Amino acid sequence: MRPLLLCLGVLALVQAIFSKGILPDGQGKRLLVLLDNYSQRETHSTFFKSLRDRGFQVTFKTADDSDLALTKYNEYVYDHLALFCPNVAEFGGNITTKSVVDFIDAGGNVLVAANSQLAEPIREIAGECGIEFSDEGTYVIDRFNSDVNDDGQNTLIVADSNNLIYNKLIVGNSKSGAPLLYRGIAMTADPENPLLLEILSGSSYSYTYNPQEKITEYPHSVGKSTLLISALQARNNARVVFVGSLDFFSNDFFESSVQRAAQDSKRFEKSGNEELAASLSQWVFKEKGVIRVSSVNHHKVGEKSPSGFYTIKEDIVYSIKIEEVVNGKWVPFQAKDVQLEFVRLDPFIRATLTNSNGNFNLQFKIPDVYGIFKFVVDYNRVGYTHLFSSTQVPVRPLEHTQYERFIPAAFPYYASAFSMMIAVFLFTFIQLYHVDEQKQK
Amino acid sequence: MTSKSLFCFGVLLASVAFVLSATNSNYPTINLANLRRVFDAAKPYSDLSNAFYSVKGLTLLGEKFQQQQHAEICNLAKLKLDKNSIESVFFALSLARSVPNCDIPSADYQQTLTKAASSQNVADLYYYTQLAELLKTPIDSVKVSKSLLEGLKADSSVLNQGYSLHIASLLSEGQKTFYDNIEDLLEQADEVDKKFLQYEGGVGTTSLVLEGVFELSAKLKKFPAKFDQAKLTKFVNYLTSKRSPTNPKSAYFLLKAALKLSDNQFHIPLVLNRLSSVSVSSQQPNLLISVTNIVGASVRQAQFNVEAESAKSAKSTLLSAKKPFTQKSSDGTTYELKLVEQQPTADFYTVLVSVTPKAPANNDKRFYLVDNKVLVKVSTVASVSDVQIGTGDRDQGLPKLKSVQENQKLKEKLEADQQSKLYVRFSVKDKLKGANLEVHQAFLRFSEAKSGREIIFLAQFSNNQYSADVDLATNAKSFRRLSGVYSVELVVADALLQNPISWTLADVNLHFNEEPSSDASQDRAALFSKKPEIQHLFRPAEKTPPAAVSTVFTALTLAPLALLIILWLSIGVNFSKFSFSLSGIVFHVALAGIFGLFYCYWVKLNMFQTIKYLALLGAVAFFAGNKLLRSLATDSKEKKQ
Repeated sequence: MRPLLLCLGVLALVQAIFSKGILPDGQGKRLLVLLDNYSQRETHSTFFKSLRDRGFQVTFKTADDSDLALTKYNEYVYDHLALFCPNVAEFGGNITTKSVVDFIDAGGNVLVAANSQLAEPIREIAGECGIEFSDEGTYVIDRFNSDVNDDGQNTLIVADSNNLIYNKLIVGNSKSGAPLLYRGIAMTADPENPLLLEILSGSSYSYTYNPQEKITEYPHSVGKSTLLISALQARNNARVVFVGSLDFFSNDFFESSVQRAAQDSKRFEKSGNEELAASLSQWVFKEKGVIRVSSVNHHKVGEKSPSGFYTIKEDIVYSIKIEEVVNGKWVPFQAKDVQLEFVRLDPFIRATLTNSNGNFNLQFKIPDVYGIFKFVVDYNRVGYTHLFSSTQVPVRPLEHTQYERFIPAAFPYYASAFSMMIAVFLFTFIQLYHVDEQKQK
Repeated sequence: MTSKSLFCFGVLLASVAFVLSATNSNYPTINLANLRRVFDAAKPYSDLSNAFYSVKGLTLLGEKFQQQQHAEICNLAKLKLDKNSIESVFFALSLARSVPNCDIPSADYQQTLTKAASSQNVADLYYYTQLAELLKTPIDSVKVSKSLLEGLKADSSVLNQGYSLHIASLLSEGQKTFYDNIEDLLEQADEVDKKFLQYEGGVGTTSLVLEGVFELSAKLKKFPAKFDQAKLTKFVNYLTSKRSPTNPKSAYFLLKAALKLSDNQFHIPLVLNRLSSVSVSSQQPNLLISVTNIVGASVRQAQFNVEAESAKSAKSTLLSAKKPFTQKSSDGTTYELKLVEQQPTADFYTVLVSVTPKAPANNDKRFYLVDNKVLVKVSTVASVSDVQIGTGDRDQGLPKLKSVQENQKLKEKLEADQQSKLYVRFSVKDKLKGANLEVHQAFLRFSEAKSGREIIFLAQFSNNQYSADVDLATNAKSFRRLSGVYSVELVVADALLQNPISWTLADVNLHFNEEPSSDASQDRAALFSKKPEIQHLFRPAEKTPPAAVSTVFTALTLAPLALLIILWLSIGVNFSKFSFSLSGIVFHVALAGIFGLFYCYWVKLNMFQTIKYLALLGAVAFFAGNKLLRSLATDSKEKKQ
C-alpha cells in the first residue's frame, strides 16, 4: 500500500509540474458553451460566430449532457466557460456548481446569461460571486422605457446606453452608441464586495417583479439599483460576467431596431446589443484589459546594474516595464497613472512613474530610515487585471566613515583632541631627554 | 415545380418579405434577407459545395448572375471537379448546367455515376439520384432501393433517413418502406419548450427531412396520417423562430423547405401576425393583421375570408359576435378590424382569428393558421388626483396635509427631520371612465440631485386611495443619514395605462442628526483610483552654533598647548639626554604614526583596519620604546658610576 501511495504522490507531483491547465492572460482560446438546447446555437448564431471569428475554439454542449467535464486527468481542458443554460435544473457529467466555482478559483473566465426562468445551479454560482438574482418568474419592468415591439407587459425594455459603466475596456464605445434591448431578470450586487462591477443598471423607473402578480411586497430591486449586467473580477483576475437576459445575445435582438414606446421617440435601426456583446465578451474572455510586468530594474543614479543594498539618502532609479494585450499581442502599456510605493510596513514614498513607451521610471532619494524595504507597484484599475509587483531591498544606515567629517560647530572637539596628541608627542621628548639644569649644577 | 416557376415565385416572395419585415421585427416568418446574406457571404467561391448551395439559393431568391460570374462559376466547376467523388460530380454538373455554355464532358464522370448507383453510402445514393434526375437518366429503382436499405442499416442517422426520403421520391417503385419510416422518423424529433420540433442536426437537417416528407408524400399522393397539423405547426414554429443558418447548405435546405411549405398539395401553414401596436384603445380602435405564408408573402393559391371568432379576456369580452376583417391590401396579406367601439374594460384580450378560403377554392383544406391567437391590450388613460402631501411628528397621527395642484410642484419647501413622518395621499382615476384604478407601479421616489442617490417607497392601496407614509426614523438607514434637499416624485404606471405618470410633488429638506453612514461605493472608488502621493520628510539637520563661536572655542582649546610650549621655552627646555640611536628614532616615528593613524581612522578608516595597523605600529613602538628606555637607563647608571 505504502509504495503505491508514494507512487501516486510522485505522479501527482509530476502532473502538477507539467500541467498546462488554464492559460492565463487571455492566451487561452478554448471555450466551452453550455446550452439549454442545441437550437440556441442557431438563435444566437451571430454571437457565437463572432467568437469563432476571433479565434476561439468553441465547443457546444447541452448543460445536461452526461459527458460534461471541465477537467481531464485533473487538468482543465477549457480556458473559458459560457453558461447559456439558465434553465438547467442540474448539470450533467462532472460539472457541478462547485466545479464551476473551482474553475473560477483556478483562473477560468465565465460568461453567464440568465433569463426569467432561472434555475437553481446558476443562482448558486452567482451567489458564490456575490450576485443575487431576483425570484423565478420576475422580469425587469420599465413602463417608461419599453420598446415598441413589447408584448404589452413592458418587459422588453430599452436600456439607455448612458446607464452603462464608464469604462471603455469593458463596454467599448457602447456608451455613446444605440440603446440596448433587454428582456429578462434583474440582479443585485453585494454592496460590501468591492470586486463587483455594475456594468448596466436600469432606469430610475424600472423595477423587478412578476408582471402577472400584484405588488404585495417590496420588489427585489427598484430604480437604479436594478442591475441588468454585472461583472466580477476576482482577486486571481478571473472574470465573470452576468447578463440577466439570454435574449440580449440573440440574433433577433442584435438585428432588431429599437424605439421607445412613447410617442415621437427616436428610432434606432439597430440596437447596441451586438456592439456591447462583442466588447463584453472581449473583456470577460481576457482579450482586453490584461496587463503584465515584463521586467523590473533598480540601481543607483549613474550606475547600470542593481546593487544588493542601498544606503539611506541615496539617489536611485527604479524602472518597470509593463505590457498590455492588444489584439492578441503584448504591446507597451500607455497609462499615465502607475504609481510606485517604497514600503517598509507602510509606504514611505508614493509617486507616479513617468511613462516612456511602456517603460515606467522614477528617480528618488531613499528616506533617512533604514530597514528592509520593498518597491511595490500595485496597479488596480477598473477593467484591467490587477498588476502587483514587489521587489525587496535592504536599506542600511550610514557607515562610520560616511558621516560628515568637518563640522564647523565641532571644531573645538577636533582641536582639543589633536592638541592633546601633539602635546603628548612633544611631552615624550621632554620626559625622555630633558635634564634639570639645577640638578646638573 | 420547375425551377423556372420556383424562380418567379422567389422574386415575388422576396419583394413582399422585404416590405413586411421592415414594419415589425417580431415577424414570425423565415427572413429571406437573412438567407440571402448567408448565400452572399460564401462569395467569392472557393469550393464546389458552398458554390453550389449559394448559387442555387440565390437563384431561388431571384438573383441573376452576370456574364462574368457565369464564367467564374463554370471555371470553378471544371477546376474543382473531383472525378472520383459523386458528390463533387453532382455539384460541378449542377453548377455547369445552371450557367449557359458550360459543358463538362460525360466521359469525365460516367464511370463515377455508374459506380455510385451501386454504392451503399446513403449520401452517395442521394447525390446519384439527384444527378440522375438532373441528367434525365433512368434510375434502377429496385437496385437503388436495395442498396439504400443496406446503407440505412449501416448508418441510420436522421440525416441519412432524410436523404432516403428524397431518394425514394425519385424512385418508381419500392418507396413504401421508406414512406413507412416517416412515422419512426417523427418519433426521433426533439421537442423543445413544447413549442418546437427539431432534429439534432439543426435547421438544415430539419428542413431536409421536412422537404423529403412532402416530396415522398407527393409521389405517393398521401400524407402520413401520424404527421398531423399539431406536429407540423411545431416544425414550422422551429423554422420561423429567427433561425440564422450558419452555412449556405443549411440556408439552402431551409429555403427549399420554406418554399415547399408555401406550395404543396397537403398542408400550407399560414402565419398570422399583428402589425398594429399591441395596445388598442378608443383612439386607436383598429387591429391590423397580416396573413401570409411562412416566407412572409401573400398566398397565391387562394383568397381568404378572415374573421375574428371572439375576443376575450379573463373578465370581459371585446366582441359579442363573429366579425369579419376587411382586406386592407390588394395582395391579400393585410386585414383590418375595428375592434373597439366603446371604451371597454382595460385588460389583455385574446382575439381568435379564423381563415377560410374564398370561392372557388372554398373546399381547399390545405390552409391552416399556425397560431390563430392575437394578443391585444386595451389600454386606458389614467390621471392622478387629490394629491396631498405633508410632514408631521411621527408620534402624533396625521397632520393637516397640503394639496398639490395638478402637474405642479408644491411651492414651499417641506421640512423634516429624523422624528418626522412624511405623508402622501393620492388616488388614480381612469380618465375615460372615471373609476378608481389600482395600478401595478405606484412608487414614491426620493432623489437627491447632488449625489444622484434615490430611495424608493411603495404606496399602499386601500379604500380606493393610495397612501404612502415614510417614517424617517426607521428609514434613516436607507437615506444613509445624508441631510439635504430631496425631491419627492410620484411614479404611477401600469401595463394597461397608455401614459405612465411621473410627477415631482415637492422638495423636502431632510435633517438627520447623526453622522452619515459610510458609503461602500466610495471605498470601492478609492480602491480603483490613483492614491495620494507621499513625499518622505527628511529629518532636518541639527541646529549648530555660528562659526564665530566655534572658532573662539577652538582657539580656547588650542590655548593650553600654546601655553605649554611658551612655558616650556621660558623655563628652558633641553634635550641633554638625547643621543642618536635607531631605537629612539623608530620609537618617535612609531608614536607619531599612531597619532597619524588616529587621524586616518577619523577621516576614512574603519575600526578593523585601524586595529590591524595599530597592532603593527603598537608592537614597533613597544619594542623600540623598551629599547630606548633601557639605553637611557644604562646611560644614567654609567653617569652615576
